Amino acid sequence: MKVLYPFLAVIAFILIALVGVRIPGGQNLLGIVLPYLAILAFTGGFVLKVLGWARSPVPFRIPTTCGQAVSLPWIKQNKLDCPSTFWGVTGRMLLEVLLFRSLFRNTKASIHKGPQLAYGSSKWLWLVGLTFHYSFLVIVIRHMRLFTNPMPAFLHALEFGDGILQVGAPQIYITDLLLVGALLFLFARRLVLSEVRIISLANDYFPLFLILGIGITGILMRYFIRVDVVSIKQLAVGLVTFSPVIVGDIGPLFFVHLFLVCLLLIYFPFSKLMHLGGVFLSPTRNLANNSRMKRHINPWNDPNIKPHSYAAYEDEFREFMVEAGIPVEKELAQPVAEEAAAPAAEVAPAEG
Amino acid sequence: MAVPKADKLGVSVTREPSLMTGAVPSKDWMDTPVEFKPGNFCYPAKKSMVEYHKFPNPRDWDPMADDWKLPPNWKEIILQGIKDRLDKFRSFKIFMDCCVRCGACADKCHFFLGTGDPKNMPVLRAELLRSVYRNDFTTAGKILGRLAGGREMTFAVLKEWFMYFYQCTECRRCSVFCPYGIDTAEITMMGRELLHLVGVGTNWILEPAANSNRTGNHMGLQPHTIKENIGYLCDDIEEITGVKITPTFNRKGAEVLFITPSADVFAEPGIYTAMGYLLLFEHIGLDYTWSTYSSEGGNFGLFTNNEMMKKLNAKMYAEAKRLGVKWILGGECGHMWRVLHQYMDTMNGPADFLQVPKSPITGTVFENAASTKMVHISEFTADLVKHNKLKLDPARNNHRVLTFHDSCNPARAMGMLDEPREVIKAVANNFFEMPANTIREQTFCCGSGTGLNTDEIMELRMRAGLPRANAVQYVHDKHAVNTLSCVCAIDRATLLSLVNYWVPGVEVCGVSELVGNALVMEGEKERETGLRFEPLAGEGE
Amino acid sequence: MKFADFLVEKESAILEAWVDQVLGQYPAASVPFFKGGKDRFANPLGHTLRHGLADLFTAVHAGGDNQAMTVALERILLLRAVENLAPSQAVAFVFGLKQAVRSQLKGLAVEDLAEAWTGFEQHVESLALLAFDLYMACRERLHKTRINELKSGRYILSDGAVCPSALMRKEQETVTDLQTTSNSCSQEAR
Repeated sequence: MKVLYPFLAVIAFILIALVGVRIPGGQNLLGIVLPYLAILAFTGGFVLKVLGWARSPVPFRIPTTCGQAVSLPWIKQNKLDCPSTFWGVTGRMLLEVLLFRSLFRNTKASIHKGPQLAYGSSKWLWLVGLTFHYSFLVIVIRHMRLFTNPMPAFLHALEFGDGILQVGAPQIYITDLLLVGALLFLFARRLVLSEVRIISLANDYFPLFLILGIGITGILMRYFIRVDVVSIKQLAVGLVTFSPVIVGDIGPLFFVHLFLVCLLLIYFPFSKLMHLGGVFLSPTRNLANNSRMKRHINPWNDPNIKPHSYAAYEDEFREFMVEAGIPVEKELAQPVAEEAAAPAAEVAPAEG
Repeated sequence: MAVPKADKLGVSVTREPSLMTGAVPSKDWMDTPVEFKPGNFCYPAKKSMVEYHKFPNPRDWDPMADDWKLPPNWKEIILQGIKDRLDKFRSFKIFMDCCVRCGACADKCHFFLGTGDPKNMPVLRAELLRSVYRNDFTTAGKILGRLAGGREMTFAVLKEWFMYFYQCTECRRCSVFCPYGIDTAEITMMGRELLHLVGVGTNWILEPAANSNRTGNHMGLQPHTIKENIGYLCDDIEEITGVKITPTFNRKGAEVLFITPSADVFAEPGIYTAMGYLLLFEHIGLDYTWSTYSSEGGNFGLFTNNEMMKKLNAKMYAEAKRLGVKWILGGECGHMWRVLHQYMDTMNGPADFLQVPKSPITGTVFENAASTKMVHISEFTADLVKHNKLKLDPARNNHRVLTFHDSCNPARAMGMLDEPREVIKAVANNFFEMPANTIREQTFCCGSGTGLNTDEIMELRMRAGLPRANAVQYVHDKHAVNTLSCVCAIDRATLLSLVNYWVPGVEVCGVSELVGNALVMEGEKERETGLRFEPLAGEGE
Repeated sequence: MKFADFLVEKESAILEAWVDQVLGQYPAASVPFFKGGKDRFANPLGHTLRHGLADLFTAVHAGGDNQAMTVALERILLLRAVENLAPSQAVAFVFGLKQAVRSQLKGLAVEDLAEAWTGFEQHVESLALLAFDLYMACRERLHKTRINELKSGRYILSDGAVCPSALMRKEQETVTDLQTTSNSCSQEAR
C-alpha cells in the first residue's frame, strides 16, 4: 500500500495530463495557468513554512558537538565539527549542505578488519544521495536555457561538461543517467533494506515516483520522442516575461512533464522535501558551541521559577547544621521558641 | 512424525511477540502494540512524588493495567502540549518536519543494537510522535491521514511513548549521523514532558528530583550527613596517605565553590573519585568550599521538563552568590555538564556576581567559561598538568591498565574529548583507547542514562549497554585492560554493573581517582595501597 | 563420505542454517541488519551470535572440548540471559544444531551415519546441559550485579524515603551480623 498508492497516484497524474492536453483550453491550463499557480504555491508555501519555523524561538543553544571544543590554548579545537565562531559555523554548514558531512561520517572506517557491509551501505547512501542532489541541481540549471535568450556562457559550459561523455547528436547528459540511476537506487534501498523498509512511508515513495516520472518524461522528450523545442522555448520565455503564448503543436509529453513538475512544486512545501530549508535552520548544526562563553537568551525564560530557597533549606536543617558545625545564616532560636517558628517550608514526602 | 523446529523446543513455545518489548515485526509498526511486562518498564512515580512536584494527575497506577487512570480530556491535553512546544522550540518543529527517513540513524542507537527492536531505531522513536504531529498539525496529514503517515493520538500511542521514550538515554549519538542534525534527545525530552502533563512518569526520576529540591541532592543526604561522609573519606585518605585533610562546608568568602554529583560523596565507586578531588585541592592549596545546599551536580530535571531543570539548577548560582565565591568548579558528571554547558547561563544567568574563572595556581583564564563562570574539573586539572604544578608519580597507577569511556554529554553536548585524556596520560602509564567508532563523538552510552539506571529494568540496561561492553571486552582481551575510567557519576555506577555482567575483571573509576592516586602529597607516608585500599603494583602479593 | 568429513565440508552451510534459526527470533525487520553487519562494534549482537555459534560448532566437531565449548557458549548465553526469555527458550538454540546438520544431510550418502550420529547427538546433549549451567550462572551474575548495585549505596536513589545515615548504620549492623554469623558457622564447621 505504501508503495502502490503513490505509484498509482503518479500514474493517475500522468493520465490526467494526457487527457488534459486534448480537451479544449487544456493546454492553456496546463501550460500557462498551472505553472504560475505552482510557482506561487511553491514560493508562498516555502516562505510560509520557513517563517513558521522562524517564528518558534531557539530557547537553548544545543549544537551537537562532533569534535574537540574550544578549550585550553594548547588543546587543538576541531573548528569545523565543533565550531565556536560564526565562521566555524559557516564552514560546518557548508560542509553539511554541500557535501553532506554527517552522512559521510557513516563511512569513517573502523580500525577493525571485518568486511564492511553495514558501512558499505552507509557510504553508498552518502554517495548516491550526493549524486542525486547534484544531478538534480545541474538539470535544473540546464533548464535555464529555455528561459534565457541569449544563453549565458556558463550554461554552455555546463552543458558541454555534462555532455562530455559522448560526441554525437543528441548529446547524452551524464546527469540524466545519474539522476535516474540514483532514484532507482534510493527506491530499491527502501524496498530491500528491511530496516529502511519498515520506516518508509507513502510520503517517502511519492516524491521518488514523482521525480522519476519527471526524469523519464524529460529523457523521453530529449532522446526518443521529439517535441517542438522552439515552441517550448517560446512558451518558457513567455512565462518569465509574463506574456505566455502556446504556438504550434508542442506534443503531449511535454505537458505531462510540465504537469509533474508543477505537482512537485506544489507538493514541495507541504512535504519532507522541505529538508532543503530545514537543514539551514537545524539548531544542532547551525549554532556555535560557545554557550559557556557567551550568554544565549531564551525569550520565554520564566524568571518566576525559583529554586527551593536557601532560607527554607536552612530552616529545615538548621539544628543539624549547627550541631555538625556547618555555618548558618540564622543562629538557632531558643529551644522553646523554635518549635513555634518551625518553618512552613516545603517538606518532601520523603521524611528524613 | 513432523520434526519440531528448534526454537519451538522451549516450554514457552508461544513465541513471544519480540524478545523484549512486544513488537511483532510482521505487521506495520503502527499496528504493533506494546506490551508492558515486568522488567521492561520503570516503576511509575509514586503519588506522593507527583504531588510534591505539583505535577498533574497524581495517583497510583500500573503500566501493565488497561486503565492508566488518565484524565478524561487527556488527548486534548497532549495535543495542546504538542502545540505549545512547537511554538516554544524551533528544534522540535524542524525535527518534526525535516526527517526524510533515510535510515542513517537506524543502526546508531545502542538500544536498537542491543534489543533489535525496530522502534528503538531513532527514526522510529521520533515517528511515534511525528505520526501524531502529522495527523493533527500538518495539512497533508489532516487530509490524507494514515496515507500521509499520520496517526491519531490513542491510548495505544501513549503506551508506546511511555515505553520508548524511556528506552532512550538522550545520548545524541544518532544526531551525529543525521544529515539534518535531528536530535532524538530533543524528541525524547518533548515526549517525556508531554507524558508528565497527563501524569505519566517514573519514580526513579521524580524521587531524586524531589530529594534534590529539598535536601540539595538526589541521595537525600542532609547537611550533617554530607559533612560526615566526606569526613569518612578524609579518614580513609589519612589512613592511606598519612595526610590529614579538613575541607570546609558552606564557607563564605572562599574563592571557588565546588559542586559534584552527590553519588561521589556517598556511593562506590564514586567516593574514590571524591577522594581524588580532596587530595587534588589539598595538594594545590585551593581556597574552596563544598556546599550542602547545592550539593548535587546532576539534574534530573533534564529528564523531566525544562521548568524542573531550571528550578533545580538555580541553586548553583544562588549558592555561589550567597557564599560570595569568585567562580564555580564542577566535578565529573555527564548530564550535569550538559545542563551547565548548554542551559545554565541561559536559564539562570547572567552570573554577573561571579568573575571569569582564573586558576589561582597557574593564572590561566578559562575564556571558554567566560560567561557561565563554571569550569570542569578535567579542564582545571589538565591546565595544572600542563603547567607542571602537580607532583605526580604515575607508577602508582601501574596496577591499572586503563581505557577511557567518553560519556555522552561531555562528548556530544560539550566537546570535551581531549582534556580527560591529557589528565589520564599524565597520571598513569598504561592507557589504551577503545576502537574508533566507539569513542569520542561516536561513543556508546552506558545504556542507563537519563534516569534509566534503576534495577527493575536491569536486563534491558544490560542489553542497551552491550555495544559499550563489547568494546570494553575488546580492549580487555587485546590489551588486558582492567580499568574503565570515565568522567560521569551515572557511568561510574552503571558501567560497573555493565562490566560486572559482560566483562568481569574490569573495574570502573573516575579520572580524578587516578589523579588522587598519583599525587605525591606533601608530608605523606609511603603509599602501600591505592585509594580503594587495593595493593599497588609491586606492593603486596 | 565420513560424517566427520561431511561436517568439515558443509561447515559454512550448517552454520548459516544455525545462525538463521537463532537470529530468526529477533524482529524480522532487524534480522538482515544483525546478519549483515560484520563490524564487531557496529553490530555487537550479530557479531557475538555469529562468532559464538561458529566457535561452538568448531568445538563440537573437534570432539567437544569442555573448555572451548564453555568459552563459546558463555558469550551467547550472556546475551540470552538478559533477553527476557524463558530459560528453556534461552538454551533451545543448542538443539538447533541438530536440525541444521540434518538439513544439510538430506540426499547425502554418509557411510558411518548411524554410529556417528549417536556420538554427535551426545555432544549436543552435553552441550545443552552445559548451556543450562551457564545460563544459570549468567542469571546468577546478573542478580549479583543487582545486589551489588543495591549494596554500594546507589539504591538510595530508588528509595530516598529512608534517612541515608540511618541506612548506613543499619547496613553496618547487617554486615557485622553477617560476619558474626559466618564466623560462628565456620567455627561450627571446624
